[in-house]
Amino acid sequence: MPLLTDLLGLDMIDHRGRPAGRLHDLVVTADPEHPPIVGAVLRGERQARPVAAAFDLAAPAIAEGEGVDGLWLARDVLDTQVYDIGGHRISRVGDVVLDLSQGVLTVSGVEAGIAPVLRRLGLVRASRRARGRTLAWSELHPLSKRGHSLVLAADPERAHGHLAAAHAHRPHLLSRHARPPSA
Amino acid sequence: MPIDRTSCHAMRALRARRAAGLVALAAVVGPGLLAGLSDDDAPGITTYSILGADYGYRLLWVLLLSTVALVLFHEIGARLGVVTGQGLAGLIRERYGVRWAAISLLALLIANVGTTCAEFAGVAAAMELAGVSRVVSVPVAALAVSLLVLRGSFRRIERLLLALSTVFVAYVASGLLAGPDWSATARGLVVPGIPASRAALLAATATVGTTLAPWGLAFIQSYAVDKRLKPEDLRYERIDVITGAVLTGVIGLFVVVACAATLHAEGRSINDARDAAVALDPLAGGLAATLFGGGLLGASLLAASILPLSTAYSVSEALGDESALDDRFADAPVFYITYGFVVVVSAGFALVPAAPLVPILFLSQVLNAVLLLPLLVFVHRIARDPEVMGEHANGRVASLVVVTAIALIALCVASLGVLSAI
Repeated sequence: MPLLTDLLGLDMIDHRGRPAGRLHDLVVTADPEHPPIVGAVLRGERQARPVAAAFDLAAPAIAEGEGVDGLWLARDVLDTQVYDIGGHRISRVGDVVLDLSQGVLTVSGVEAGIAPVLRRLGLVRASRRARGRTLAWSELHPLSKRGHSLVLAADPERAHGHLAAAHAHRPHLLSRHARPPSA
Repeated sequence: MPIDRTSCHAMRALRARRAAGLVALAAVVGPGLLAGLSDDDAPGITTYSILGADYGYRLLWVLLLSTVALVLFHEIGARLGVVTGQGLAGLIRERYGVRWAAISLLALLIANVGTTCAEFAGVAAAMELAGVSRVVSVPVAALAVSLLVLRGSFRRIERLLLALSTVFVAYVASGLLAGPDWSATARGLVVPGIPASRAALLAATATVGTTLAPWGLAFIQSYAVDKRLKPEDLRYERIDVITGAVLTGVIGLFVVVACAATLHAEGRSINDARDAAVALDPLAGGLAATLFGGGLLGASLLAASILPLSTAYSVSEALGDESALDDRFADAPVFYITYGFVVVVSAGFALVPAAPLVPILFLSQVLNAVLLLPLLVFVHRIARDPEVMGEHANGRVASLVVVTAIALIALCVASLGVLSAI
C-alpha cells in the first residue's frame, strides 16, 4: 500500500504531460470511510489543485480546474497527536496509509508508533523491528475541519462530551482504543 | 446610610474577588515554581559559586539577564503547554516533522545526560565531604533513585529531598553575614563588565546554561500539560513563573555575593566541594562543609530523579510511543530504555576515578547553553505562530524581545567558540 511520505516530493505533471512541480501535500474530502484524494499541493504553492481522475503513482498528474478545499494530509494529519476517547494521549500519526484501486487514491488509515518514525529517518532496518500499528480511517473522526484545530474521534458526540472543553482548541486525533497493543 | 452600605458591599465583593483569585492561584502554582527552583541544583550552585569566587561581583549582570531570560522563556513554555496540550519535542514534530524533532530530541538528550552526570557528580562531591568514595556513593544513588522513581514511591521522598535542597537558602543568610560590598553588588548588576578572557566567558556561558537549562524548558511545558491548565489560568501561571524565576535569581545572587565576599576576597578559587562550602562559613562556621554537603546531596538526588524521567517522557512523546510509569517494559520499551540510558551513562561518567567533579558540574552547564540555542529557536517560532497559538501567539514586540535574548545567548556562545579556537 502506498504511504503518504513515499509520495511527498514526487515530480508531478500537468494535464499536458509537462512538469508541474514537486508534490508537497495531498488533499482529501471529509468522507468518513475512505476519503478520496481530490487535490495536490505543489511545493511553493499555497493552494491545492485538483488531481487527475485516474491517479498514476508512476506519473501523478494534476488536472485543470479551480483550487480544491479539504484536509491537507501532511499539514493537518501527519505527526498529529492521537488521543483515545478518554482524552489520553496514545500515539502520533507516523504516516498516512493510502489505497490505490482502479485509479482512485483513497486514505485507508494512519500508521502510528515508532516504526514509521524510524523509517522516515532512514533507519529502515530498525523500523522493521520497531512497534507500529495501523488505525483504520473509519475509526478516526475529525471534530473540526482543518489544520491545527483538527480533532478526530471514534464517536464525535462522546468525544465532544469528554474533550470539547479541554481540547477543542488543540490539534488531536482520537482512536477508539485506549492504548495501542504491543507489536 | 446608603453610601456606607454601598461601600460595604463593594468591600465584600473586593474581598470575595481576592479570595477567589488566591484560590485560583493556589490551584495553578507548581510548574513555574518547581522548574525555576530546580535550577538551584548541584551544577547551578557550583556555577554561581565559581562566578563569585573567580570574578567577584563583576559578572552579576549575566545572572540578572539570565533570570530575565528565565522568566521570558518559562512563561512561553508554560503557555505553549497550556494552549497546545503537548510537550515541546512533540510539538516540534507536529510543526516541523520528524527530522527536526529528532535533532531537537538529540540536543535535549545530550544536554540532559550532561546535567544528570553533573547531578551524580554532585552526589559524589557531597559524599566525599563525608569521606565516602564515589565508587560506592554514585552506584548506590543511581540504583536508589531508579528504584524510587520506577516503583512509584518517588512522591513520598520528593518532599524530603526538596526540604534538603532548601539548605541553599542558607546562602542568603551567609551572604548577609559575610559583609559584602553592596555598592559593588549594585554596580555588578547594572554595569556590564565584559568577560574578555576565555575563562570569564566560560563562567558567563555556564551561568546562562544553568539558569535557563534545556530540561527546565521541556519540563515546565510538560508539567503545565499534566496539570491540565487552561488558557484562563495563564494570568496566574505567569505569577507562578515569575515567582519561581525570581527566587532562583535571588538565591543565585546570594551564592555569588557570599562567594565574592569570602573566597574572592581571599583570592581563593573553587577546586572541590570543600572550597565551595567556605562561602557558608559566615553562617555555619565549622559546620559549613556539613551544611553544604547536605544541601548538595538533596539537590543532586532530587534533580537526578527528575531529569531521566523528564527525558524519557520527552522521547516517548515525540516518537509517538506514549508511556507512563505504571506500564510494563514490554508496553513501553522506549520509555524504559531512555530512562536506563540516561542513568547508566551519566552515573558511568561520574564514576570515572580520575574525573574532576567540579569541572563536570561546571562544564555541563556550558554544554547546556550551547544546546539550548536550537530549542529556543523552535520555541520562538512556535510561540509566534497564530495557527498554533491563536490569540495567545507572541506579537511583534514579544517576538523582538525573544529574538534579542536568543541573539545575546548566541553571541555569548559564539564568542566562547572564537576565543577557544584562538
